[in-house]
Amino acid sequence: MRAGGEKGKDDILATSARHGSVGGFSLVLLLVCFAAAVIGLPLAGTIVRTVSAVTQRFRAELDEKNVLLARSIANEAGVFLESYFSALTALAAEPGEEATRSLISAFPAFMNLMIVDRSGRVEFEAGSGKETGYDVSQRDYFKAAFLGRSYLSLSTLSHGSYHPTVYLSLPYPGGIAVGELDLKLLSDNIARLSLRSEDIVAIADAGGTLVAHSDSARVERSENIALMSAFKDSLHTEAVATQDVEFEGRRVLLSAARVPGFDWVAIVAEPAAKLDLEIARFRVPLLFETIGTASLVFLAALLALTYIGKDFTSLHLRLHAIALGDYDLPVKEPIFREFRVIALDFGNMANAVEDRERRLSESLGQKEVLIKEVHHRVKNNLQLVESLLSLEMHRRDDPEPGGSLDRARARIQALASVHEMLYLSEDLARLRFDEYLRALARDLVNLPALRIETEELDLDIDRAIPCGLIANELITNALKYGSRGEGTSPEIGIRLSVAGGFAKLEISDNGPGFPPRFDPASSGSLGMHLVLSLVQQIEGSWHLAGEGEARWTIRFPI
Amino acid sequence: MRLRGLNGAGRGSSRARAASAILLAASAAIGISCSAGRPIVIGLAGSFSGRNSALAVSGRKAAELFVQKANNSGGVRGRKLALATSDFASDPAMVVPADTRLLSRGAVVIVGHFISEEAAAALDFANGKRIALVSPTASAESFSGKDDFFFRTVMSSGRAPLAIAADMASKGRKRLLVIEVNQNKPYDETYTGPLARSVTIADDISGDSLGDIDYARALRSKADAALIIANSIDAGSIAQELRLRGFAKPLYLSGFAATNGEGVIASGGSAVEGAWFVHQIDESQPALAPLIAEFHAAYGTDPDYAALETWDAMCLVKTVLEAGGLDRRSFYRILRGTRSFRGAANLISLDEYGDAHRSLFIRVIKDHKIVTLGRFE
Repeated sequence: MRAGGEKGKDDILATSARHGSVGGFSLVLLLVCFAAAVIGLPLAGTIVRTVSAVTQRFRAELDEKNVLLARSIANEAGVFLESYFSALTALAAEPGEEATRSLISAFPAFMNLMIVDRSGRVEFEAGSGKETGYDVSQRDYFKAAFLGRSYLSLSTLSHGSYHPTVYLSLPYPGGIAVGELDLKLLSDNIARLSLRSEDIVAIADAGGTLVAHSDSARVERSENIALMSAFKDSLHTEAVATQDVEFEGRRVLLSAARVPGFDWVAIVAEPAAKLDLEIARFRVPLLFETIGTASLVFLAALLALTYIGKDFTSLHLRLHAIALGDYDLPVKEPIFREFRVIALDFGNMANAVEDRERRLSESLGQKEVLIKEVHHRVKNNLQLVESLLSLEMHRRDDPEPGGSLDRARARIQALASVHEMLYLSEDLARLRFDEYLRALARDLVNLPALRIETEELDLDIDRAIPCGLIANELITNALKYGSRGEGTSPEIGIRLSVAGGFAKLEISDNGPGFPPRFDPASSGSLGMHLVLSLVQQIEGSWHLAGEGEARWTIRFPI
Repeated sequence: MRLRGLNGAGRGSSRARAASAILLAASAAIGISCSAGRPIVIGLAGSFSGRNSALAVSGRKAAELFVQKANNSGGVRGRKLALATSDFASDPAMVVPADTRLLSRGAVVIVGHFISEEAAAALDFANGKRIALVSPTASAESFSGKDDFFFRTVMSSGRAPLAIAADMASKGRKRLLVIEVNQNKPYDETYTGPLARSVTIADDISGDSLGDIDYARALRSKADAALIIANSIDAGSIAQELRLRGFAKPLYLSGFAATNGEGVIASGGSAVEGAWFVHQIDESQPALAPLIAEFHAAYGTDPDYAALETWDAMCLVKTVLEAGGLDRRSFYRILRGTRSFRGAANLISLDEYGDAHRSLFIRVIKDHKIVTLGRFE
């Protein structure tokens, strides 16, 4: 298993959390909104349509009932007036005191019955008896009947009692028969209908003044409904459909019907609040049922979406763990079958990737062993060459340090050291050059006056070998020429620093330094040529300070 | 210590004042926002039933038509008008309870009190509750020249007896029989007092109802003419009774008798033919024609005196409301400063005591019609 695979679930979750801030729309949130819209909107529409339909149905039923009631009351009023006109007709057929008294007792709504002569003088009066002999020629009921037609007056104050009344008049050849009606009887008849106290039933005359009302006090006050459009409409049509109007200080649903044969209008009204209550009685349970259903459906959808979200998270964690190399992260198994299939595929994929990775790792390990072996063998071979050069030096009895054989041997030793360090390190391609430099200095310089300062520096093999050779040449050169004279030990300084993408190698000694205008390139020294050539190879630069000391500075990119 | 205490109290009270101001402003804001959509309630009080109901019933028709028309035009200052009515049932004892009901319903002004006796019964109440009363028809002279909460768009009838006296003098009549039905005492006194100083009162016959009138005594009075002070129905009936009993002298009527249009003619028939009276409205004025047509279209009948006067009263109320009198206090304040307003026919002026000044028309019943003879100057 790779290093990434060793991360725990918490690390993965933490990484996932960072992934949560990548932006974009939340699919789960979108699905929740979609579910709310898909469930909520049709439900809301259904509620509105249902309530509207029920309201219309209630309204239609109420309209039908009230119009029927209004027509029925209008018919009753018409029959009532017809019967009293019939009484007048009877009186006109046989005008006289006896008939007048007989009729007034037979028709209780007659407050007063009068026989008026053609000049407008009241000849006889049964009832109040207050106007006998009066000239009533200027009253509407006389003037209309005088023209030859029966007449029903507008509501007016009774001359006898000051209560609102209406007059009926009928002409006959000798005069006019006049009846005055007690409107209270009409109101009492209406009040006897089994109505609820809040319902209104009324009859108005052609001028809109109430002539009957379930609350007779309103007739007594001569209240008027002429300004109501329903009243005007009903004067011209048989019946007016229910209207939602303000009436008697409250909002009512009012129906009206014209009294057949007369300019009277019957109205039936009931508080609109009653219809509202009926609708509310239906609406409240409907609303609760709908809200309940919607809530359940929405909760179910929310639950499903929550589990889908969890499955998504589980799959995401699994995938993320695979990406990080953790093929065995224990994650919760998805709830939904479809996600389990995907999880299974992820598992198969993880196994396949792990297997491939394992095989690659094995192959890489084999290659590493091979490379180490190569480095080992190169080092061994180089050490063999160095040993051969040492033997040759001893054979020639020329073990002069710094001689050509010795220099060659040292160079080969420097190369061998590089390969040795490489196969000993974990990374076969790079080595710690600072450690190499210290080891090289210790091998070459057995002096107490060695000053070595290094900063950590990793170099690949392509640079490590030239740098190692350069260091070898310069240190060897310092050992050779660094002393100021006999009996004086050379003092050698080695400094390796790193800054701004460049490494700087400084090697100095306390020798006499280089002569003025010394040019290493034209010195004819193999070592100098080798150093310059290697510096060029690593794309570096060099500087030589020769006054009072010898100081090489090599600067190269890393 | 005392000073510090005083200073402390000063700071405290200034904070309290600031808090009160904020609360007051908040309350006002809430009040304004709450009242913005509510209709402005105009009270209408009168006897809508009983003996004196003719005036109020006609007045109510006019007021309802006025309110409907105003509301159809957008109301006043963006608010609808609402008419709240309350009935005295021709009983002065019912006046205060009825007015109290209107007050509790939020009326900013009470229009009505059509009969002087009803208006007189409401005076103390109006002054006590500080609510303006605007009467369309209460014309008793006793209301004149008083700085109170009573206003009227009708002129005092104080000049009516002077007109009668002048007419009697011009026709050589000296002795006047007065017949009155005791239903409107302040109004009756408006006539009887000045007349007693101008002509000879041959007799003053009164009764609580028509049945109480002693006609035999009337016949014995040896008067040159008779004055009937009663509403239209009663005046017609009294005239009929007088004529039936052979009283053939000229008749004078109080303006009250003609408040119900030609109702007095319907009631009195030929008995009131030639009757003479003065009145503040001449329905034949061309300026009234549109209103008469509008009223007729609505109710099928022409507006009578009470309806026209009530229309004028509503005009005054609307004028004050439009000037910002949207609550009782400001209504009274603005009304008190109002010196004229546009009525149904013309500009009507008000004096400093809130009494209207109008023309007085001399009218006579001729051929069963009320005919205007001219103005009484």
